[in-house]
Amino acid sequence: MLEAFLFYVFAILTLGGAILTVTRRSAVLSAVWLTVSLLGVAGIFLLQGAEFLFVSQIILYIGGITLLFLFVIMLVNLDAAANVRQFRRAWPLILLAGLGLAAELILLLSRGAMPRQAVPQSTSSVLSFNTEQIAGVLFSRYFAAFELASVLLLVAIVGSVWMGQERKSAALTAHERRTQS
Amino acid sequence: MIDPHYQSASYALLITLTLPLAGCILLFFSAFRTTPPGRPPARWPGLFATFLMLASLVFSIGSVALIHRGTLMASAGEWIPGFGPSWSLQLDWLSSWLLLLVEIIGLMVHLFSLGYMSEERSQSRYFAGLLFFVAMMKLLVLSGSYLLLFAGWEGVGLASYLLIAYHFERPRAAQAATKAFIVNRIGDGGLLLGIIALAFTCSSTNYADVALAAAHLPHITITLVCTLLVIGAIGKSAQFPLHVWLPDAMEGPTPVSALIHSATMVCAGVYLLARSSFLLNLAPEVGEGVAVLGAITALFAASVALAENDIKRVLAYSTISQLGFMFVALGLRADRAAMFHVVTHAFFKSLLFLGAGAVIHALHGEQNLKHMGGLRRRLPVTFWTMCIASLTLAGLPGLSAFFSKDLILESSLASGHNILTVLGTITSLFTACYSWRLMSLAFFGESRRHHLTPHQPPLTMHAPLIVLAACCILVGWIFVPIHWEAWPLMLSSTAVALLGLWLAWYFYVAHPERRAAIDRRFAPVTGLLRSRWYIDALYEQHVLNGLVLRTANGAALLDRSLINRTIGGLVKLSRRTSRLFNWTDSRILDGIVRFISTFTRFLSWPSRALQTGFVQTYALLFIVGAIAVLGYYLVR
Amino acid sequence: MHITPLHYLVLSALLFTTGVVGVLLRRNIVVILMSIELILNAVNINLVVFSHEHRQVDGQAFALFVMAVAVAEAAVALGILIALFRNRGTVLADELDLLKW
Repeated sequence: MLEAFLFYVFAILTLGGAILTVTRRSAVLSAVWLTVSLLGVAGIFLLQGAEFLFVSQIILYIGGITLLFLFVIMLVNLDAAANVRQFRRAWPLILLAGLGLAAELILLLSRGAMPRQAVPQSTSSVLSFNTEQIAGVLFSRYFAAFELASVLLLVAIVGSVWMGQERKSAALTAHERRTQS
Repeated sequence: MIDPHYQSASYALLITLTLPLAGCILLFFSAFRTTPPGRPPARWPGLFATFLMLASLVFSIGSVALIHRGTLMASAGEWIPGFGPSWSLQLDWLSSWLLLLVEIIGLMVHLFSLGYMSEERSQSRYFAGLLFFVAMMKLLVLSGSYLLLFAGWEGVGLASYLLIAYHFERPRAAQAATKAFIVNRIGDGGLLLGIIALAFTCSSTNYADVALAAAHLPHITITLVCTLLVIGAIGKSAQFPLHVWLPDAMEGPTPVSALIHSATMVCAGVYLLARSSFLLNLAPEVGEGVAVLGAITALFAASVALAENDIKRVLAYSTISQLGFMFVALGLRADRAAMFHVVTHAFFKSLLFLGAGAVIHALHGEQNLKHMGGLRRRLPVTFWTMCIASLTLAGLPGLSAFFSKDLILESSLASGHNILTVLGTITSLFTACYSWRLMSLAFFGESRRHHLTPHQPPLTMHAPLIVLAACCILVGWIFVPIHWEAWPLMLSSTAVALLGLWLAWYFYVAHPERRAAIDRRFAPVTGLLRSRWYIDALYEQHVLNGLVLRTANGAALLDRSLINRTIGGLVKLSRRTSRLFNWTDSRILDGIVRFISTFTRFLSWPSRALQTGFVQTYALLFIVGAIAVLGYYLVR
Repeated sequence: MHITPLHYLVLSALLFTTGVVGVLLRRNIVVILMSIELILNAVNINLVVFSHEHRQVDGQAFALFVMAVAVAEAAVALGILIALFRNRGTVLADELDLLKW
């Protein structure tokens, strides 16, 4: 009972936030609703017993990604961008495609051999047992992936730092040319 | 097995034919140019032409020498299929005489023209015409078939027309040229009919073939063919009644008269009849007619020459008269005698003409004998050379024409036609008379000109005179057979000649005042002679104004109505066709090309449309593809 | 009613579709990137649901990795966006058609 209620709450948060993200004119609002949606996803994780992921979701996405998005939105001058048309001209076609995709997915899923009974909750009483399990798996079976992921993050950091630098070369960048002349 | 001499001789003949023709073609390209006033005329055409004549003379002499008095017959196929081997050359005694004659006199005339025509504005045209004439005359003489002879015949007629009308801006020259061509044409018509008759009956126009076939032809055919050939000869050799063009042809430059109208072209008729001896031998009646006609012409022309005042006209009638002699010989089947006379006549007549040309040149264009006089001391070389020529014409013993004329009279005596001999003798008297009359009027007595002093002819004009005079003296002794046994005839000829000379001297040099009395006594005769027996007037009235003019008007009408309309129609047709082509090209062909390009663009539109460059479009396609795949699984 | 895993999967499908529509629909690149995050999260939901269903934690580990990659990708993408903005002066995907024929 509680689970159903929580599920629907989180589902509405997730989907509502997602739809609002996609439909807002202002990018900042989109970022805000993204945060809401991600929060809803975190709740879903929690419902499914993935406590570690729930926390990671909050920390990483909401604390990191949305912040990042907001910074970048501030960096790129969006006054001019806010006045123009935000949606593509072919939006009916796109909505149609989206509807089709959703319909097909749902139909396929409903046809699938999914168990229709609820999955009983885990009866473990130890808090964060989930975290230990993940750690156990992460450092044993998926250790290579773990290391590679860290390398990936390092590369991403270095790359984005380097890319984000203002390079004052002899030739002006297009932006500087445009803003100075 | 072909004798190598004969082979070389044929090559030499071809070269001697083509050299003047090539020269004519080369000069043709500059023939339409006239030297602008103020600049001296070009000298190169004359020098070039003279050089060509010299070269071809060498080849002619070579070819004649190579065949050693034999006969060269070279044939190269049929011109008109069925009419026998017409592309053929024949070099025998007859053609080699005329060939060398044409060469030598041609060379002399070219040399003379260098000086005489040095002031003329259209040098190339003149020398091109001369070279063309020489080439055509050689073709006529060297041909081995009647067809080629006819080609040369027409060619010399054309050359004569072009050269008489050299000063075409003068209406009289143009008219004279037209008259020459038309009268010639009448004769040519006869000749052509004769050749066609020969071709059909003998299925060949080659001399050799005709000679063989002629023996089997019916008499009536032979007579007809001979008559037609004789008509052609009458036209070309200016016998009565087709003689009228020759005196008028004197409108052309004097060297032209010397070459064409005294020495060579006019002998083409004689040559034709000599060549056709195998036919004439079979039709003696035609021969008799020819002889009679020749005698009448000779007498008639000599009588007119007595009354002519233009120096060149006198010589023209003299030519007609002497040709009459040759026709007498031909008619009496004395071909060799006729040809000897052709040769001697060529030399002295061309000398007379060139001398007259020197006189005219010296007197700046004066041609009327009544306005000359006293030139004996002023133009010594001219005087002495013309003296020799005149005396040759008169028939003074020792000079070449004496022997050749006597041969002719001999044959007329032998034939038994005494009337011919009588006529011939009277003609000789007249001949001596008018020839010395000419000399007297021109060179003796007081100068009847009131203006310019004569200007001396240059060396290029004297040299030919001297050479020809030498020939006049020598040719008789070297080439003409002298029948010493006919000494009575020789005596009577000498007497006649001397009588004629004395008469002329008496009435023109010693006592010119007595002429007036005789003129009054014989006024009608004088009138008849002066008007040339009214023949020219008759021609003018009936032939020229009647027939020729009407034909010309008819032709003009035809041209305007039929031909112009046809051409106009063709022009319209070609315009319409070109418009159609234009439409086809711009609409259809360009349309095809444009369609291809448009079609290609159309075909490539889907691919182009996909390459939008927008990542989102690509993502959309991606999703559409995913939908498709999922749909597949859905319906499976 | 009982919440079966199907519900979660349907939720994930709908979230995924929303993210896809967002990627296709919006001109602003920042929003496009946000939509990509939505897509990734939908996948994460899927993974976690299946992991929970099979009583194993591998799916969650997988989802963790997805998250890590998503974070790295977001950082790099935004760095690229900034560089793009500096060069082209625009953040609208429509105006970036250098790959057009």
